[in-house]
Amino acid sequence: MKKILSARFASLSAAALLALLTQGNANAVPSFARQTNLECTACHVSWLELAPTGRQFKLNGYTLGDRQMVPLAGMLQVSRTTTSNVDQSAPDQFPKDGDVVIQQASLFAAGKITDHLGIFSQWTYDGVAHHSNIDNVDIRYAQQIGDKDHGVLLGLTMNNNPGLQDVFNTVPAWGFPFASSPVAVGPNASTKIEEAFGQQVVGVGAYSLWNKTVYAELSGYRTADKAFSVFRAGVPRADAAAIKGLNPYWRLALQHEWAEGEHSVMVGTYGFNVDQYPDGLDPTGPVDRFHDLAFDAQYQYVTDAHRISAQANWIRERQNWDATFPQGGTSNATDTLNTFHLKGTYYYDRTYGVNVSYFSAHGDADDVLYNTGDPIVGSATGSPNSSGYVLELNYLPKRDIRLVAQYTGYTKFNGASSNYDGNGRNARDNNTLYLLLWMMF
Amino acid sequence: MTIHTKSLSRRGLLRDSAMLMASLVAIPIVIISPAARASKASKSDFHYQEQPREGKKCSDCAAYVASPGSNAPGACKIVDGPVNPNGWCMAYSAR
Repeated sequence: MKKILSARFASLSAAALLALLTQGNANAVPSFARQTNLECTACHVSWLELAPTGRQFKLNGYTLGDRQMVPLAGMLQVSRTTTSNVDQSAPDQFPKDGDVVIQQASLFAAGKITDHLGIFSQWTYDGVAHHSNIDNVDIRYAQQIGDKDHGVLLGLTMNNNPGLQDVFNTVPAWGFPFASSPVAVGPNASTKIEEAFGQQVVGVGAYSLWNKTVYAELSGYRTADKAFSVFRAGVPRADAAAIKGLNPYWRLALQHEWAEGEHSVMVGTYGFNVDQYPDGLDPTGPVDRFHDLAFDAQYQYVTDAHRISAQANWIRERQNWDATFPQGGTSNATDTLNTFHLKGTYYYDRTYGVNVSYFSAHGDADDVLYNTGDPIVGSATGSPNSSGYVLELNYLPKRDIRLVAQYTGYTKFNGASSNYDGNGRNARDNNTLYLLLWMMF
Repeated sequence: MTIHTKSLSRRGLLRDSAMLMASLVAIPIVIISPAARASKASKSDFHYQEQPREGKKCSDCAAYVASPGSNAPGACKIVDGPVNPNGWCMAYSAR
């Protein structure tokens, strides 16, 4: 009897929660939409790319609107990946290729806490790894001071992913592609700021927006351990990086809006200096030092009928292998890695959209680092060089449902166009078609 | 030697933690000033204007809070101050 009552209670609770989540407008992070009464396309060019209204909402600490009793929202992604050439001799490199998978299911707690304090937080179940852990968390405090029209917006952020706090969709944490295959083979080189530390570190920073034009931020990141381990809750300890002390992240951007916000443009720069222990389980001894410097730019044109946006982002990373090189983990004492992303978007009637992007990585060859000898993921030349493009079609039958067809093509992969791994595999063999059903509720 | 290293590391962690917590507490105190305003955004941040734009007006917006009296200025959930029912801003969302 008790079991039956418990089951009924659970069913009713689930139904009540579902009803709560699906009531009213359900857009973008729907709890934000319920808080503001705004539809998703007021804050987003198309979710999740922020429009000027969305940037203001975030910079104001997620506090605009009425506080919700239960600021919860949900997300579900179901996808299918098809790789151009699945190497049957290495099936482990192509898990679930051709299968329909529940890619990700997330629960958000996101909304206004007080008049000046708000939160964006996410807990995610990975349907491929069958594992759940904390995802992005950004707790913000914001306040405007001075003259109403020409004052300063000041804020604090505490988050667990360097760049998560940014309001432009050029930074890796919010850059394109907004969703990608969880199972496709990808290039082996990326800079540290490209989400290497998401859900592994915690940072606190202060930001300001002066006269709606000059945005500046300074943050410091440390390992999310001890009292801060909640920021990496559920992340396997063996997967978590360890960094030494406080590591600075900075941001400067100039932005301008005209024609009542229809047009907006931004040029900016940001950087992240981080000292990382080679072994995350042993945070002692010498560290490798990474210096990331980036320049980015964005343009948006936003109306109901037509929406156009473009982003460019270039990152240069200086890698000093002070710890790894003496142990023979790299061929060079220092390396340089550059990555570049360019993306363009057009949406018609906020319903039909196309994204086109070009990406590249190039840098110093490092045989020990990149020439692992592995088929498919290795590089026979020991090179980090890769390049390619993404073509993506979007259709939103409802504002909170997105259908995506995304094709990723490689012109160069891990150093070469053909026989890049020394086992006869070509770059184009890793081209993928990725189909996605993405729902917010 | 190992014990010594661990001790230094622990002190470092405590110091870093203290800095983070102190920042969290201190900076809000520093930035709160007598000129501080409520949590709503300024009208200019959202390009508010007193006239409709392309037929869209605040009284038709989901964030608009009407006052008693049909033509009296209302309020908004997003921007601060009295709002003209015939006004407009870039956050406009049809009811």
